[in-house]
Amino acid sequence: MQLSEILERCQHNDRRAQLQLYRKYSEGMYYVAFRFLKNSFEAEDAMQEGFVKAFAKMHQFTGEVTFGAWLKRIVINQSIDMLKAKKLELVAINEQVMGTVEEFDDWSVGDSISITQIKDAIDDLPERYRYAVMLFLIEGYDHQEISEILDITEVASRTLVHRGKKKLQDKLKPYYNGTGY
Amino acid sequence: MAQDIRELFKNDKGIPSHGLRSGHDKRFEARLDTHFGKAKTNSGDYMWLKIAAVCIVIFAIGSLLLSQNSGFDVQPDQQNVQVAEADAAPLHLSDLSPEFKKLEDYYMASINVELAQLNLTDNNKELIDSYMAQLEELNTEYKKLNADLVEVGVNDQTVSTLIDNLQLRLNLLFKLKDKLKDIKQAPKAGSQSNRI
Repeated sequence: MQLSEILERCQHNDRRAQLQLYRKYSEGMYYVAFRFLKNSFEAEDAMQEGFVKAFAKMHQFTGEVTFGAWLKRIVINQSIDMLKAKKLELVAINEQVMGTVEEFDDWSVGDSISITQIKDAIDDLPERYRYAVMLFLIEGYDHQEISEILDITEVASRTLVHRGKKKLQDKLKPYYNGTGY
Repeated sequence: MAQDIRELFKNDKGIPSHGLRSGHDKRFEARLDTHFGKAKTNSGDYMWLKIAAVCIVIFAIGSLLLSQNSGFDVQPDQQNVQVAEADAAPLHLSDLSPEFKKLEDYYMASINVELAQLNLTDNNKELIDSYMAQLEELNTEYKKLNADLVEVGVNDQTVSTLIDNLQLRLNLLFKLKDKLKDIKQAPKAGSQSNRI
């Protein structure tokens, strides 16, 4: 069955089509939610709630992006909402960021550093930097999208990501083993 | 040489080691039930009233088709109804499997609801008739499949074809509904483009 057909049926609350979509996307969406919530119960909750919300507003899906991307955005919003409910502090940064364009664009780390080490270092970041960095690096959103998801300004998003990156690079320095730095 | 974190993540295909907890799909179905109502049809008197009303409409449309189209054969239908009422032989899959019966009931109810919402006017008569003819074909097919099932026994292919058959009908009705909506929005200009 075509995806467009399944989507159309979902819009009419067809249970079989809904479950078909769930089977197709649940695992991927669960991993997305898990990256943020770090808890299998909460991640499942966010993922399933995301599906329910998606089914409820299926008519809003215009096909501008893929269905997977649309659904992922809903699941991420749901995860962030759940984090916020746990008193996540995202705003309240008045720190002026000084830096050159090169600095903003410098995402380099040492040769010997593995992706696992980077992920661990991201998990260690203070919350307010962590989620902005994750959205930017792992989920691949731009600052406009991040600002919508986190409900902050684009400038704040740039600041959070930039400062998060700095902290990340600092954390990873001990692993450099002197290569290139 | 240094690596770029952004590139590292772009090429990262790793997934976390902890998968979904078992039974998550069952919990999801329960969640769907609470949000969108049970998939079953017996969710109150109101629904039954609707279905009853719809049955009358189907009879009306059926007799209409009968008068126009002699290809419609009532005989086996009556036999089926009699057999089902008498609980004599498992002629339908729904008699064999309560789960499938639930599914069939659900689809039939949805189809009937859609049918009941149709407004037959001179403008859209041709369109509706052509859809009804297609539905009738599906219905004949469905009966054939059910007969096969009794002869050959239950197998995956036939069962999924039966379900697809029901879904196809519902889909046809949705499409018809959309078309009717289009016609309503352009009542004059649409009269020529009603044909399928």
